[in-house]
Amino acid sequence: MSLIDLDFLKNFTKGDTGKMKKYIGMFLDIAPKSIADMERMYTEKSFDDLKVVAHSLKPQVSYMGIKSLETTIKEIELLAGSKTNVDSLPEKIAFFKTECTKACTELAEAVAKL
Amino acid sequence: MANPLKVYVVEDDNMQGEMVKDHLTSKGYSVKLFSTGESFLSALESDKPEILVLDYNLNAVNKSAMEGIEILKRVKDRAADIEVIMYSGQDSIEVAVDTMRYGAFDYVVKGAAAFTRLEFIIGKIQKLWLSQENESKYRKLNNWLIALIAGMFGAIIVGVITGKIDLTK
Repeated sequence: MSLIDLDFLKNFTKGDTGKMKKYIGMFLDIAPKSIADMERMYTEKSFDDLKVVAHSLKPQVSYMGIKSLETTIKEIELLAGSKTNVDSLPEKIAFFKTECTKACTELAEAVAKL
Repeated sequence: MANPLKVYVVEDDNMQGEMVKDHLTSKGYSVKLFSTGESFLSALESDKPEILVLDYNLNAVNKSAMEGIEILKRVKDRAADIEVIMYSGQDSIEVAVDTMRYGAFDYVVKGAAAFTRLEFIIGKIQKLWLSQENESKYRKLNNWLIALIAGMFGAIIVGVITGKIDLTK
């Protein structure tokens, strides 16, 4: 089953493939960097910074239609922001990384077909 | 044709900024994108928008960048007539109230629905301006009519006093 749903982007761009490619390209560029940042920030216990990165990723995940990750990224933001139950963060970041990497592969394939 | 309304955007997230810019441009507004509040404030000296869409968290990329709320205060100090719409990923009533306390017109939470909401609020601001303009025109017309009637009465009174008008006939 597909992890991505491009309906929002199609509606938003009114089917303009150039704009769709631009936004997806931006996400493919930023997502791996943001995941690496979240991993590093957890190791360094920089929870405030981790919260900011998760906060920025949250709407982007939604625009790319990666519904399975919307809850996870919100939880990462909330846990890092409140600094509670931080021991559960590595598992959530790892889940986010695995699923987001798969979603990025799907997005790259979708761009190639546009 | 009238010049398009200038709606400027301050957003440090490239993707968000591009999406807001593209959306508002497609709706006919003249849009400029700034990645920091500081660069917007510098440009404000020579290029002032009617409306500003301002990100609340402006130090996600550059930690030393000024926060959105600080930019809001400075914009309102320098050009109080610019209507500011705060734009944030934080769905928090406290944050929204706080920004409005410092003069923001409204607060929009980032997400799929944010783009149409921004468009709706910009339309609301324009309607408000139009109604203020109409009210001012109505007041001017009203004052003019009062002056005219008072003038007529004055002329009649003067006419009666000087005997040029005889009201008994």
